[in-house]
Amino acid sequence: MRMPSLVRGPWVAFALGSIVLAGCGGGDTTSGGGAAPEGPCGAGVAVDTTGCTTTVATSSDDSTKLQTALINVKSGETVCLCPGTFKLDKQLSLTVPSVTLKGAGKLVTDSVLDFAGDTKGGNDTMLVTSDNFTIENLWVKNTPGNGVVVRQADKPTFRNLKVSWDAGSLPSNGAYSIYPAECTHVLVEDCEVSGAADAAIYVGQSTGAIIRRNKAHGSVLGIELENVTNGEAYDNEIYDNTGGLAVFLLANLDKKDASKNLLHDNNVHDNNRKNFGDKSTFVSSVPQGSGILVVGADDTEIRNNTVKNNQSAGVLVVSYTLMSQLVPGAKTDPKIDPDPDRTFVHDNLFSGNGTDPQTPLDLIGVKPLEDVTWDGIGKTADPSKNDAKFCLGTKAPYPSFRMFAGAHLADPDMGKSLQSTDTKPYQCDLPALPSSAP
Amino acid sequence: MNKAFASPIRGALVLVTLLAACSSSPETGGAGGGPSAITEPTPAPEGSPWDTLDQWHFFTDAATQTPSASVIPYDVNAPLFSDYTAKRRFLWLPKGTKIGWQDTERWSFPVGAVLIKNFGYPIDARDPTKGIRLLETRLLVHESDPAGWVSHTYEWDAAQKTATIKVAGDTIDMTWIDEKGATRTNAYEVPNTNVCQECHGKTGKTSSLAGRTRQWNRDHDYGKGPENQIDHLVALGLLDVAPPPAAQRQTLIDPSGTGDVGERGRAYLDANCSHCHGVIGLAKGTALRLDYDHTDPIKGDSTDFGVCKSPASAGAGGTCGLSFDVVPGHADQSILVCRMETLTAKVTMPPVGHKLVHDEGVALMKAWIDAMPEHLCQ
Repeated sequence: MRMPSLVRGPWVAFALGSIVLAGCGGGDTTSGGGAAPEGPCGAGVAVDTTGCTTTVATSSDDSTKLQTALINVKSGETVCLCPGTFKLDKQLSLTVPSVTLKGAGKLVTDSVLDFAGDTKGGNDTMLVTSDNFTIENLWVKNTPGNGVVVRQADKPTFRNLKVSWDAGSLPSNGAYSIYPAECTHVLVEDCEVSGAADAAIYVGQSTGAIIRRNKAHGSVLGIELENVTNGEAYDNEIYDNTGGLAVFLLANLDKKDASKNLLHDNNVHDNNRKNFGDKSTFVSSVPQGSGILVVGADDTEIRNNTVKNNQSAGVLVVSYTLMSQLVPGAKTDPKIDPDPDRTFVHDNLFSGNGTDPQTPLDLIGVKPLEDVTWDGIGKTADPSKNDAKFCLGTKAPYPSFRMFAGAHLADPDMGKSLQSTDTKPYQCDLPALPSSAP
Repeated sequence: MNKAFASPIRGALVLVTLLAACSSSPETGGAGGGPSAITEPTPAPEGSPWDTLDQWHFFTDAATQTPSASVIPYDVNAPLFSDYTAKRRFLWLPKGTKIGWQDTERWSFPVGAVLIKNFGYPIDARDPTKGIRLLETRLLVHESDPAGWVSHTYEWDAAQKTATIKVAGDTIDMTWIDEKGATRTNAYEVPNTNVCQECHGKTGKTSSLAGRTRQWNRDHDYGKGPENQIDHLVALGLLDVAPPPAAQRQTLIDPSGTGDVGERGRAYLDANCSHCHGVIGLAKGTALRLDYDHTDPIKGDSTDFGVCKSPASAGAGGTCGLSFDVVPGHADQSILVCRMETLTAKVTMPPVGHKLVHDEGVALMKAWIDAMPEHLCQ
């Protein structure tokens, strides 16, 4: 686990604060008054300022104060935030590498960055473009755009972070809560995110990502890996979203592939929320009640998950060409391979899924729908040849399964004659993806 | 005051001040805007920009934008829209340094180079003699690696005497009269220094946007009538190689001129969008490429510049309910136009650098799209 917590209290705060002050003259330590004994965050406020280079308290102009701290910070330093609500009316950004931003309080809810007053800001409410950024022990709320965004950087870490919107799950919320895009070596752990109008935890166009021990709920998607290579999501609890855990290959992006993503030991349950995504964006096509959803990605391994009470499907694996038909005007991209190859689904625990399939899975005409559902859109016209190497492992019992011939949903019989629930062609193994889990 | 600068004491003062503190400068007692006796620019130590603009000595009189002798004014072919401000640009190179020429890519500037840009509103755009209300002066300073280009901005006081460094940005409420005689207002935003990087590139990769042949290849009057700006650099010995003749250089045409609408559209996109929507840049992930090379209607792939391209992760409201970035012949169905026309925070494009809609830019983009052979993307 993380660093052992220190004995806290005013006295300790004073001692630690003094060391910080003495050690680095550059610290912008803003405490309540001039007298030192209160410590960096005021009298009686329990804080842990270990490692803090700068400690910022709430003030009458939090945006200027915090933004200035994030401009003046030097590489390798840590900016700590005192307990309290920072009322921010502007976007925040950071461009200095190797900076940590963290709450100094005991609880994740102690230091709050509240962007309710940011009425003019753009789409990335907190924007970081530098390497080795860590954000932890903070509550970020009410961002008009995306929550915490890191773009084009190596090793962003999101740890013990809460991101939410006071009004609940609304289309007017920011699209994404935690948003590393075009990054390498992403780590998202011990966070709780809810209310995102697209994906709560989103990793996009990145290579190398670990997403573990998070709670994602109340969003259109709980966790999404979009055009990601070498992603791993484990020990997450994902519930009350439209769709739980998604691995997507989407068209018209810079990165043209999604592969080798491992989803294991997650608890994906009760993802039955009505889709409240923007109608003209891809996420609006996610069927309400999807547990685990793979679109277009190759080499996805799904194992040891508990998948329960998702009303449309437990595991749904489809081609991008099928999904894109559900989005007005969406077109595929000649530079991507839209079909999911080598999907490996094994050793999961399923119960209560597919009880009431929603649009468009109701078209399949089966209720309950099987636990593992695949559109069978593959390399040849005869999906039973299993050119796509869809594998359910080689150990009985196999999950209930349906290949629903997605390419024929528009046929008069909706492809029923081509559908199959026989697991035999799919009783195969694929090389296990390496895990970083202990 | 000025006498003191000319005296031998000044040299000693400079040394002492540099040693003593980071952000002090040769003449901290300087009142600012008035004419200065120092005509040679005085770069700040790397990492420690001067507190006030006058300490750099880029101008003999900054309030009237009169540059020092070694500071070179220039214009660009296609300016970036900045809320209708009047912008003036200047370049300073340390003695003995040269610019690395590139035919099409960005030029490489030597360490120590400074690009200077004044932003201001005309008091009355119909009458230039009424002057300009200066808002801010932005500097791009090319420091040694790994810092690379570093940005600073100096905000002008209302009295137009002093411009003081501003780190966290500011808002200036402005009123002016435009060229049609209409009274305009704007809550002009001085960017914080991080916002600069959203356009100019991240630390270590920050660069000048317009320091390139296609923006510089035009005339400027350096006091002897119109003269090609690049030829002027050649005459001053400031380019590392002899460039091709002016007529053979890549050139953007004036987006607000009367040239071919396709070329004007490409010039506008290159100047206003390509620093993010390019092969590098913050919006590279969208795969929408709006730099001059990618918008070539013959050699380019039209999907790259948005034709029948559906956005993947535009976010809530980011599509305006439309399906494609550009629908040829149908500007009204094109997301690109819609996002320029709106000021809704999450939707407006560009995301930084403006608080007003660029009406003329929107009109040009509509004309650019409507002039494409009609094609319904479905």
